Amino acid sequence: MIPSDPFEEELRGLRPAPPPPHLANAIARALEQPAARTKPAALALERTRRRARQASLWLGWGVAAGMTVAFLHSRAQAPRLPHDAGANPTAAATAPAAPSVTGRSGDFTAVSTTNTLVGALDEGVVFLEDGRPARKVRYEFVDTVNLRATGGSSATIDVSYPREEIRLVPVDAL
Amino acid sequence: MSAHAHSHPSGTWQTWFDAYGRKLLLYARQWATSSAGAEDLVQEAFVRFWRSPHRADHEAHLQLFAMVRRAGLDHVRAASRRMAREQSAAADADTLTWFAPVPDERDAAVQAALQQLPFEQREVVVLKIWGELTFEQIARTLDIPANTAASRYRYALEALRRALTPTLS
Repeated sequence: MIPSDPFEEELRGLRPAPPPPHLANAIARALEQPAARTKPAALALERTRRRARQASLWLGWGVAAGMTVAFLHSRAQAPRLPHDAGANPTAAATAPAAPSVTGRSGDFTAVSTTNTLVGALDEGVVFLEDGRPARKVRYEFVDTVNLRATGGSSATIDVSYPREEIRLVPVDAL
Repeated sequence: MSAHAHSHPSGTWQTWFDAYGRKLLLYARQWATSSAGAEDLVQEAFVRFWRSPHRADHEAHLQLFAMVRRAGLDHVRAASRRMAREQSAAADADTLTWFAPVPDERDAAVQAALQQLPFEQREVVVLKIWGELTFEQIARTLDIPANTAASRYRYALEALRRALTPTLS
């Protein structure tokens, strides 16, 4: 058995001052009133925020990637078949069209997404806003989106970005 | 009573308040900028605790301390006064006693020495000595490793010992 520290015992001998009577009265009045609309549980709110950040990050990268590839493509022009008034007009109509140069993100489409878990850290138990205990785990991912051009070009681009996700899992008991 | 029970803990809210009110108020005084602010934190936390459908008997007092801390964090953020908790003790130094209603020289010296501690150390000392929590419980309440809680407590106690030994002896 670890002997008690006299200094700690001396400190423990001091008793915290009691709450003033009006504090108990204030609590009583507050408990008599109907509960106000509760805030969203920390768990749902945390996930909502994370998803919003992930969605805007993915959209930004997609737009940037699409504009970059489209810009590079705009420098190369597809060969045009000579048009002869006497030639079969059908042949001219079937000539391959020039690649898209608009630079819009709509010229590319995401064909696959890979989520790679690169790390996980258990940060222990925390208390949610409603008082429930929950285990907090921080996950680190690298998300890779494969984009492919839709205008007849075979251009592809992979966009990778880091993503962090915090999960709060309620635990039954401590 | 099982920790999974959703029924009320034994006793009325007054019973709980009588049991933990002093400790909660002392802890809240580490967060607030005034005695009225500390009382508001305790009121907010206690009402939230008593109304919580997830309140459990087992270690429910940890929920109380955690709720006071959360209320303190919310208030500090709302006021955008990040150093308020460092200043609160000084602000109350002349008007508020943390311990016995009629403080003696020893109580005043302890309070003054506590006020000189960094907030992180003072928080742990209050929870350990007067909150009567273990390091593991403090770690869960503050969301820090238990070793960190123990280190902060050790440093705090050394600082208090240096400041108070002549007075207490």
